[in-house]
Amino acid sequence: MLYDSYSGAIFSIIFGIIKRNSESEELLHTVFLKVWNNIDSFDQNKGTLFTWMAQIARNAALDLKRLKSFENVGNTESFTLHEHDSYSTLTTQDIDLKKITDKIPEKYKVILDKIYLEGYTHQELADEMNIPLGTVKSRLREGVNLLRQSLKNERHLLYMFINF
Amino acid sequence: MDIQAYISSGILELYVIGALSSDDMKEVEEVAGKYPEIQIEIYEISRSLEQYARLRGKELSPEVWSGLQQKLASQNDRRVGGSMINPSKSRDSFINGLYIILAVALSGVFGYLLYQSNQLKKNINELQSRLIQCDSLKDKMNLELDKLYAVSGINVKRTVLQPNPEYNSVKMVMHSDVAGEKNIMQILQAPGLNIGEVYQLWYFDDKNTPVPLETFTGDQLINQFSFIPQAKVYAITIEPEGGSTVPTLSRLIGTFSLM
Repeated sequence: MLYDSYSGAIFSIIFGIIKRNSESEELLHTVFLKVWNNIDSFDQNKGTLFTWMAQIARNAALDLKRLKSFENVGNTESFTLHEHDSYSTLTTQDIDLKKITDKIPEKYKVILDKIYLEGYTHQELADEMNIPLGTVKSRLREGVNLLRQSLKNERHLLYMFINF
Repeated sequence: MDIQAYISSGILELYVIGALSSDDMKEVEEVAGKYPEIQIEIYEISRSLEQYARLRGKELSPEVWSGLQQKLASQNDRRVGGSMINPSKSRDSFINGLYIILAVALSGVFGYLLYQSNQLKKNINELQSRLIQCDSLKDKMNLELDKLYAVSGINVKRTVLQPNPEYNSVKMVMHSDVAGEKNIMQILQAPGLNIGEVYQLWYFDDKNTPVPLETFTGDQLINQFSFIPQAKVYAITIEPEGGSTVPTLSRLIGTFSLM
């Protein structure tokens, strides 16, 4: 089911940008309604379903953030994202994703979090972290590569374990 | 085109995240359409970031899902009511519409049949009423016919009323069928009656004593009376309604003498 598979991850993207639980839940509804209403426009040649949904969620969250100027108001709710330990697909059920991200150095992980989960633009992040724009781009690229590499290794280990 | 350099540029990560301009997005899609390696790379990046997002995802409360279900139901209701039509609900509405049309049609047919039934009942009642009237008329006509047969028979003795001088314009005929034991009186001209008055027939016995017979109003031209075999003379008087036991001689119209 679409909601069971993706709601937690989509929520994490929305919450990473909005920082408010109730608004994030409300926007999650809006995003899923948009997805259901526009599912015909999804083109699998352009990426995965989740990527398409994540882009809808990110755009909606950034629009809301700009509209309400939530950024830097300092009144975020006391809510923290908890790492998920029950995923529906084979790769996420059987692979210790926590271990995967632990293998990614913090300087890459923070770039991934800020850009992918919190909606920062490269320039915004460069300004905030006081690092060159090129460094942000290269660290993002490297972070994704490390992530992919870790996933590949975990899949390989899982494959070996299954066939042992 | 140097595919590896394109992949290493980092543009694909930005594409997957959705951080490119619309022109750059179109460019990546065009390149991916030409080079399968780039399409595979995009897929791999997408999968990696999806799993990363899932890792950072949280278990949502059931209320979030129920809230979404309510909004979906509300949206579907609006669509059915508005221009957007949910196919299954549209089909249901179509079937419901057919049921309604069928129900209306059946109601119409039922109403029409009920109306026809009532009309038929009314007609039957009217016909029965007319039949009763016909029967009554038939009986009456048969009676009249009997009277006519009685007065026209060859064995019938006809006696003309001998009126008193006061009633000399009165014309009445007594038809006596001795064999059939019938007395039929034919009224041709009768004197007027006041309110509360009737004609009364009498016969005289052997001692010439008047004996009262039937009363009548003269409405009918032919009237049947009791046949008295020994009677030789009949008389007609005008009496109070209900008749009298003794004739009012001052109101004697006349007599029939059968001798």
